[in-house]
Amino acid sequence: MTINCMNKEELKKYLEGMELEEGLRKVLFEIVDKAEAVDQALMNNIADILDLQADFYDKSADLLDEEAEIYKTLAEDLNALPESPIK
Amino acid sequence: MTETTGEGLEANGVDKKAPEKSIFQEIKEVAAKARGKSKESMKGLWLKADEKLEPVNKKAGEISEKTKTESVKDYFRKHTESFKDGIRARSYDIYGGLYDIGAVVSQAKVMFWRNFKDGLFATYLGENQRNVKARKKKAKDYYAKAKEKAKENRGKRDKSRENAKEVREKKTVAV
Repeated sequence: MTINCMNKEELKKYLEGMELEEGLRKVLFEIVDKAEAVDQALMNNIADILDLQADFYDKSADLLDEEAEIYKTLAEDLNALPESPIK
Repeated sequence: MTETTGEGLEANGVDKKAPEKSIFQEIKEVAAKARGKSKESMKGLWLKADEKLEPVNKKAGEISEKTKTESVKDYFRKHTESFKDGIRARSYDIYGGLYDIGAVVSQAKVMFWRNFKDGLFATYLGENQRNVKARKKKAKDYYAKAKEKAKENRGKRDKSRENAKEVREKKTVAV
């Protein structure tokens, strides 16, 4: 068995100091509350969730870049429209 | 409706020069091409969003099981769905406007051949010009916003990765 130097309240305080989205902080607090002890397994689970959040942002950034390219192409295509049907 | 050149109109006392009918066609074709290309690209992006984000939800499900906390799964599901909804909403917004361009041009064409003398024709053309300008502006705005958001999300990614590393490296004491 392993224990961390922190108890649950201290761990929550530590997480409180982190720059996190409020919804995610709530999820992490729930995990801390449900855990049997503040041990390495709990710390790994929290780290896994934070890594997953990083994965989400990584993938969403790629998708946003692709989305941006679609709009860029569209703006270029619309530039090809004649200014007025009357010459 | 049969299309004619402007010559007939002039012969009937219409003193305005008729627009070349090919211009109407050109606008419709360019608008339709832009619409078709955007539709395909957007559909491709939606599919890619599903593919890319599904592993995040799968992993969240696994963590939920391990920690017996449904909220992990719910949080990421909500997060990914909301992101995908955003992409869809923006693309429908842009796409709907592209239909307007084609539709207004068709209306302008009808007005021209039926009622060249009155002001409706000019009204429709003016509306079309405004539509085209508005779509161009929106496409440029959405481009800038998407790029900015991508940059912001990469910053959040790095911060989250850093937090994860710090938590993972926190030492526990064996007893």
